[in-house]
Amino acid sequence: MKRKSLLTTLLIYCALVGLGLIFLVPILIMLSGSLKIDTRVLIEAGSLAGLVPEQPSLENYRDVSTRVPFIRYLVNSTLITSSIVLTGLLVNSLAGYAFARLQWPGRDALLFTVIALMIIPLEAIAVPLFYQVTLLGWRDTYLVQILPFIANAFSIYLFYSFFLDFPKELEEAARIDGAGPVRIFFSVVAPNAKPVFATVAILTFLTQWGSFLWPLLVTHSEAVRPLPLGIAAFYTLPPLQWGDIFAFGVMMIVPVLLLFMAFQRWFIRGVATTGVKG
Amino acid sequence: MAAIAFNQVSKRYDENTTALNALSLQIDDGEFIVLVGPSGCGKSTVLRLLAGLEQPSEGEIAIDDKVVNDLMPQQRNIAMVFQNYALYPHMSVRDNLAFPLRMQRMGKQAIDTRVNEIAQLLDLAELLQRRPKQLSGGQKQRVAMGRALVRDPSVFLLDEPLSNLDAKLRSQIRADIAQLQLRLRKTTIYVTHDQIEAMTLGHRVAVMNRGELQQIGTPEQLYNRPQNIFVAGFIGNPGMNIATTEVFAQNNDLHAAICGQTLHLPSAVQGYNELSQSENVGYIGVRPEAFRLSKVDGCVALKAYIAAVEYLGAESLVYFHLSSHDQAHDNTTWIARINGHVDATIDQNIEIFLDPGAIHWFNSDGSNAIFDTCQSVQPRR
Repeated sequence: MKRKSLLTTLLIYCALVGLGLIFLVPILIMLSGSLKIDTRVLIEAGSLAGLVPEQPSLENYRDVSTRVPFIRYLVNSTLITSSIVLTGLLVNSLAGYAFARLQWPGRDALLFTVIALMIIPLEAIAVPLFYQVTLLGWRDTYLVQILPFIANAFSIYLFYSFFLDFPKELEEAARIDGAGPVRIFFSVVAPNAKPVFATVAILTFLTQWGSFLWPLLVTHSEAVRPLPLGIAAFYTLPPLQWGDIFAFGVMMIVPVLLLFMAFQRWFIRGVATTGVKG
Repeated sequence: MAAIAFNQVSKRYDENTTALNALSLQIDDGEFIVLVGPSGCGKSTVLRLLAGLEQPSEGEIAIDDKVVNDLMPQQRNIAMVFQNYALYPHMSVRDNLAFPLRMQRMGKQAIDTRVNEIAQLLDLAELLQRRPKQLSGGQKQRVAMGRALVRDPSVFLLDEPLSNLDAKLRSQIRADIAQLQLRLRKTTIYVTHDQIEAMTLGHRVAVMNRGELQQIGTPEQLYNRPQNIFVAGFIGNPGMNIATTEVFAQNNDLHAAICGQTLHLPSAVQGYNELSQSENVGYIGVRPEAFRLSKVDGCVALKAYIAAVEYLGAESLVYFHLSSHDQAHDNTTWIARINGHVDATIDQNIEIFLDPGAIHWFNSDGSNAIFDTCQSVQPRR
């Protein structure tokens, strides 16, 4: 293979560092802003030197827990997101497996429908869905924030494409060894599909952890509202304190970073094997 | 123990793809059958149909006189070793061996005892805690055999089990499989494209091509009495030399025209009567070892010139064309297997000698012109 010249390598590195900074700088501004006194946050935001707080303080973090019920929001978000992730993994993996491996009437037509559903955004169906859950009397509950998001066309498609390439011999060996389809899935297929499970778990977690529109539509009490609505609550609580908002933001992304760090090995492998991009 | 019968079994994937066409095959209890043939000949389909991994389009498959077409794989009491072993990557060797027993809901104590027995039998005791990725190719192969044997199946299916191993290990494990089969006396069907495995392992060997059974017989029968040109060319390495011929009578003697030369056939030659009565002989077949470079009593001489010589140590392969170098000739390249070193140069004109009794004769449709069938001879055990 032809070796890249020093100049090409340098250019690639510069481009990558630049790209990295684009993603990193907002997080750094948020982190540094969360440690500043509220009056300094916007004043210093325009300069690089302002990234380092002169007198770092944890006051904004204390404010967050006194001005809004942060723990309540955190528990709600954790409950809602983990319910969607865990039940979603079960439901979508089984659906993906059924599409990839089982023969049943109407399979191809249904698969086509599932793939087509991937391009429909929530905003497009939010109003009819809202009407439906209102009829069912589900508004302002955990259920209304969980149930519509368990089955996910994109997750099903990821599982489907992974299981298509799964070595058939392992399943056939298990069939000959006496296992039925359910046992084969849980004892042979799923344990060897960790990358796709991790990928789907992280992608679902990220989407649901930051979900704003739907909870805003269907909830009104703090008892069931998730973190993104908590951060929005600051806008309605004068005075508008950016330091508190940044501190809330930092506390909100910590669980996501921890999750990613825990599963990043599987996630990267999953991205490589399922062809997920971006 | 189990006897197996395929009765007019066909497998079609669609109108244009026939993987197996009207296979009829009887396999005795405890017999070791090898299915051999080129890629895509349908040999693995036979195994998969018997295992229940695929359903036949037509025909019946019976194990011990019981039709099993509608039985699930796990209800057929068969075990299979896959080409790539299909060991469960997330399980230890012990768990891989125990898996079929757990599926039978056997007690933990009984599972441990059985797994240890099999580990002892296949020399796997040291490897029980390892994962498949920590094993060598040969060890994986043994674990796959162990997983197949552990639940004492009545039929043992092996789908090209040695093809992922290097040559040395292959010959060693080949011998191990033969010994194991001899000891356990399980009905075994072994699929391979390697004719050395076929000839050394099988009590009987079934040669397949394009979804059809070409011939089934002992290795000796296949080699010495091939039923058609395909079997003649497939069995043996190098394969049998095949060329068109015309047999004719002249002065009350039979002659054969081969590549522009005439071969006199003495009346003592095997199949003389059939040849003299047949008007349909179209091909001649000669095994490479039937040629001699020096004259031997009873042999006839043919003019030839050398195209290439390959020295293999104990023997040499001489590639030649019939006719002299300066004469017109057809492009058929013949191969002679000659003991020791051959001192010859390319394009050298030689006389090559052939025993007419060692010639195989085939009809224009490719079938053997002398032997009808080889089924009557008892298989070796």
